[in-house]
Amino acid sequence: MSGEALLQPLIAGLLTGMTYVLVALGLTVIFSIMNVLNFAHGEIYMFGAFCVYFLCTLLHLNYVLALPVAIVLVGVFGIAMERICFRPAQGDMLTSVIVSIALIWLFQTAAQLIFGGEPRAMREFLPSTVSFLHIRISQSRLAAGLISLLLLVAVNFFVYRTKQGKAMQAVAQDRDAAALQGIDLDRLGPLGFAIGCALAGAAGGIMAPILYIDATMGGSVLGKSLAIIVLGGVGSIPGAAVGGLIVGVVESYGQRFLGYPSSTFPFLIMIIILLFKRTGLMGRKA
Amino acid sequence: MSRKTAWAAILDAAIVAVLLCIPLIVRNYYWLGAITFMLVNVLLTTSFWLVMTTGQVNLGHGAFAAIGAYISAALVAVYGFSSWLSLPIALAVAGVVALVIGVITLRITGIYFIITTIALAEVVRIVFGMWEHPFGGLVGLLNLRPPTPIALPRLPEIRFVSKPALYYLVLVFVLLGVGIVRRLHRSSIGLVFRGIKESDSLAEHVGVNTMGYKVLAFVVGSMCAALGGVLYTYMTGNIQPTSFTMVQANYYIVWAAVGGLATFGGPILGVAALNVLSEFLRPVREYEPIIYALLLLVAMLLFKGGLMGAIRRIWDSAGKIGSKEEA
Amino acid sequence: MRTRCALGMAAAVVIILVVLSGIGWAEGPKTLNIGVCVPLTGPAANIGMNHYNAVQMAIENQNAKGGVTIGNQKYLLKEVARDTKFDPAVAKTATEDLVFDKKVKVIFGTTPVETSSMQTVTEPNKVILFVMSPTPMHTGPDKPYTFSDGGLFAKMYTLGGLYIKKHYPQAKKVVSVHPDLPDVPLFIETEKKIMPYFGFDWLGLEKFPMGTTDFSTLAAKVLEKKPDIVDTAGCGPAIGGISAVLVKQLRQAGFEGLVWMPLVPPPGVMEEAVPEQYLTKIVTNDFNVSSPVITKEYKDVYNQYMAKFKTKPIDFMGEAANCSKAFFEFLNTQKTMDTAVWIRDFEKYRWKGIFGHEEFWVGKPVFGINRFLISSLWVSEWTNGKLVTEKVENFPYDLFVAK
Repeated sequence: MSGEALLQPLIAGLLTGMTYVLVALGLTVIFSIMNVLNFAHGEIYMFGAFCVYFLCTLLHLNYVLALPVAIVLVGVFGIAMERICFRPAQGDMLTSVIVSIALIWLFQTAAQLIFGGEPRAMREFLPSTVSFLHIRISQSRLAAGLISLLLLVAVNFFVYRTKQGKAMQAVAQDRDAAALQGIDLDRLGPLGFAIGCALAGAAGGIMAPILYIDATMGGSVLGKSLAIIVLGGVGSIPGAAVGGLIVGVVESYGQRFLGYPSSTFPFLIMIIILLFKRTGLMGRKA
Repeated sequence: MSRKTAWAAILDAAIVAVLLCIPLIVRNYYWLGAITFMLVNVLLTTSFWLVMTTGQVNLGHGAFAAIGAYISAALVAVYGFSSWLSLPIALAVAGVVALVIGVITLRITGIYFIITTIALAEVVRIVFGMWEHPFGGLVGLLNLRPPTPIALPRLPEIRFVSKPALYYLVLVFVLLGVGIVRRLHRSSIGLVFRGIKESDSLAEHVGVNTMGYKVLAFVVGSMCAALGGVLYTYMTGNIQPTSFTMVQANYYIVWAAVGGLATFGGPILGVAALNVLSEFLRPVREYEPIIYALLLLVAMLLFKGGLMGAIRRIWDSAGKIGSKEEA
Repeated sequence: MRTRCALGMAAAVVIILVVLSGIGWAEGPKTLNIGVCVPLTGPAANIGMNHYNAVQMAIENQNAKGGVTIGNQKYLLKEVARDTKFDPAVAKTATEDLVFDKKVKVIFGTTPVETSSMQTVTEPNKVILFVMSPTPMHTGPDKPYTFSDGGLFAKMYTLGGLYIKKHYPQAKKVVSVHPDLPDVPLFIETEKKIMPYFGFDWLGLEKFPMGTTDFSTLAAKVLEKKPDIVDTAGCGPAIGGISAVLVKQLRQAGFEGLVWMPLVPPPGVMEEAVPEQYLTKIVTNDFNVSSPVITKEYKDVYNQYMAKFKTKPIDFMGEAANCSKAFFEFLNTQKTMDTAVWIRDFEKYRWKGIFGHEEFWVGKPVFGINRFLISSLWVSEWTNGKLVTEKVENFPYDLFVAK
C-alpha cells in the first residue's frame, strides 16, 4: 500500500468535509434559533445546486457571479419557508418534523418534475489539476474548500461579533430569557433560516460543477449533516466544523477500503453518540 | 352490556361482514388487489400510530416491515421453509430486534429519538443490501412464490394464488393485528400510554415504569409492521432494500396525520380516504408526492386533528345546533 | 311501365349491393391497445422515455399507413403507457393493469431490473413482451413470449473491442467500473467472456455505490492497477450524466489511457461536463448522426424524433424503432389474434432494418440469449472534443448467430 494510497483519501476527505461543514452549519443554526430540525435541509442544498446550474446554462452567467446570486436566492427562499411553513408550527416539535418531511417530498418531486429524472453535469470553472505530494487534486476542489472556509469564518464572525449574532446566541441559550431582554424573536426566525439555507445553498452551488446535479442529491447530504451535528454537538459552530471534517475523512477512507457498507458509518456514529454522549463532542445543551 | 357497547359490537360485526363480502362484490382483480394493498396499509399505519400514542415517533417504522419481509422471504426462497413457519419466525425476529433497540434507544426522547429512528432505518436498508446470500444484495429477492398451500385432511388443498384467496389471507392477518392494537389502546395499558405521552416525568413520579410501557408499544407496533411487511411480499412477490424506504413507503405518516392522530379510527380513515384518492390520481401519478405533501402540510398546519377531527367538529356542532334549538 | 319498374328495382338492388360491398362485412377500424411499460421516472428515465417515444412514433407511422389489418379486421394502434419507476413491484402492478384492465396483447418494455416481475404476468397470460437488454434468465424456451429488441451487452462490447484492436493494438489491460446494481453479475459474466476473445487482459470490475458523490477515491483505486483501458460498462444508462463526471474525474486523477464506454450516456452530457482537454481517446457506442456511415433510414427516424420530441434520442431509441416498426408491419401478415401463432411466425420473420442490413432473430447459447437483434454496427471515438464515427467491418456473427 503506497503512501499516496493512504494519503489521498485524507486530502479528498478534508476537502469534501469542508462542504459538509457548511451544510451542517446551516442545519445547526436553524436548530439553535428555532428549535426546529429542518429535514428538508438536504433539498435546500439541491436547490442551491440547481440555481447555479440554471443561472449558468440558461442565463449564461459566469460561475463566479452565479454562485453569490444563487446563495442570495436560496436565502430568500429560506425566509419564505420560515414564514409559510415553520412559523405556524409554533415550535411544536412533532408538527415541525412532519412539516419538514412533507417539504422533502414536495421539493424532491417538484425538482424531479421540473428538471427531469436525469442527473446533469455542468462545466467546471477550474477544470485542471494540481499535484501535491504526488497526489492529484482538482483545482475546483481546492477552491471549494477555500470558499467553504471563508464562509465558515464569515458566519463565525457574524455569530460571535455582531449584535444580531449575539442575539442569536442568546435565543439559542434561553428563548424566554432572550425575549425578556427585548430581543425580537419574530425577526430572528427568518434571519436564522436565511443564513441556514444560504449556507446549504452555498454548499450545493459549490459542489454543483464538481459533482453532478439531480433531484435526489439532497437525501445523502441530509443523513451526513445529521450525523455531523450530533457528533459535533447540536448548536455548536466549532462542533459542526470538527464534525464535518471527521465525517468527510471517515467517509473517504471508508469508500476507499470498504465500499458499500461504509455508508452506514455516518448513521452508526450518530446512534453511538446519541446513546453515550448526547451533547456530542462540543455541544453545550442537551 | 350497555347500549353503547352493543352498538359498537354490531358495528364491528357489520364491518367484518362487509369486508368478507368484498371479493364477491368486486370482481375486477385489479381493484381487488388495490383493496388488499389498502388493508396492509391500514395495518402499517395503525401500528405506527400505536407507537405515537406513547409520545415517541418512529420514523423507522418501515424498517421493521423490511425486517419482516426479508426474513420470511429469505427463509422461504433460500432455505425452503414453509410460509407458515417463516411467518412466525419473521415476527419473532422483528420482535426481538424491536425489544433490543427499544430498550437501548427509548430512553432518548424527543427529536433525538426521531433522528435515531431515521439512522436505524438507513442502517437496516444498507445492511440488507450488503448480503447477496440470503438477502439478494441490492437486487433483493425476486420471484417469490405465493404462500405455501395448506393441505388439510379430506379437504381440497387451500392455495393462495388467486387474488380472492390472497385477499382473505391478508384480511385475517390485518384484522388480527389491528384488533390487537385496538385492544391495547382501549385497555388500561392504553391509558398509561396516553399518560406517558402527556407527561413522561409525571408518570415516572407516580411510579409507572414508563420504559416498560414504551417498549411494549414499540415492540407491538414493530411486530405489526413486520407482519405488514410479510403480507406485502405475498402480494408483490419481491422485496428490495429500497422497498420500504422510498417516499411511497413512508406514506403511513401522511395517512395517520391526515386521518387524525387523536383517535384510533383516524389513521384508518386516512388510509381509506387517501388510497382512494391515489387511485384517482393515477393519471397524474408523478404529482402524487406533491399532493400528499400539500395534504400533509394542510393537515398539520391548518386542520389540526385531520379528517377525523373535522368530522368530530361537524358532528359536535350539529349536536350543538340541535340542542340550541331545543333550549 | 313494367319494364321501368323492373329496371328501377334492378338499379336499386345493384346500388344496394354496391354500397354494401363497399362497406364490407367488417365494421370500422377497431382499436388495438399496445402496452408500453418502461421507467419514465427514476434513474433509467432517459432510456425509458426514449423507448416510449420510439414506440409512439412507430405507432403513429403505422396508423398513418392505415393501421394494421389482421384477418379481415382493421385495427388502429393505440399506445397505453405505464411507468415502472425502475422498480419491479411497480412494474408488476403496471403490467397487471395493462394485461387485465387494458387487455393488451403486446408490451414494449423494459430493463432487466423489472423484467422478471413483469414476466410473471405476461408469460402465463400469453402477452408478448419486448425487453430492452436481455439476460439469460429472461429469455429461453420457457419464456416463449419474450423477445429482446436489442441492447445485448456482449454485442456492444464487441463493437468497441473490434475498434480498439484495430486502432490501439497495444492496449491490453482493462479495468471495468460499474455502479453496485442488480446487473453487476451480468456485466461480469459478459466481460469474462468477451475480453479474452479480443485478447484483453481483464483485471476485474470495481463497484461503486449508487449515489456516489465523488469518484476520486474510485479513480485512485482503479489507477493503482495501471490499466491501459478503463471500461465504464453500464454506467451510461445506469447513472446517466454522472458517467461524464466519472470520466472527467478519471482524467483529473491522471488517467491518460483509453476510456471505453460500451453503454452510452444521454446525449449532450459528455460535451457539457467533460472539458475539451479531457474529451479525447474515448471509445463509445454513441454515434455522430451527421457522419457519412449512418444510413438514410436511421437519419429519417432520428430527424422525425427530433422534430416530434425536440430532443436528441439515444442509441436505444433506434433499436426500439427498428423492432416496433417491424412488428407492426409483421402484424399485417397475421390472420388471427392468437398470440401463440404470432410468436411462432415472428420468430422466423426477416426484414430490412434501419441500420442498413437484414434483421432477424438471433441467439446462441454462448451468451445464453435467445431472440435478440443485431441492430447498429456503428462505433465512435471522441478525439479532441469531436465525435468521429466508423462502421464496424468483420462483425463476428459466429459469436452470436445460432447455426
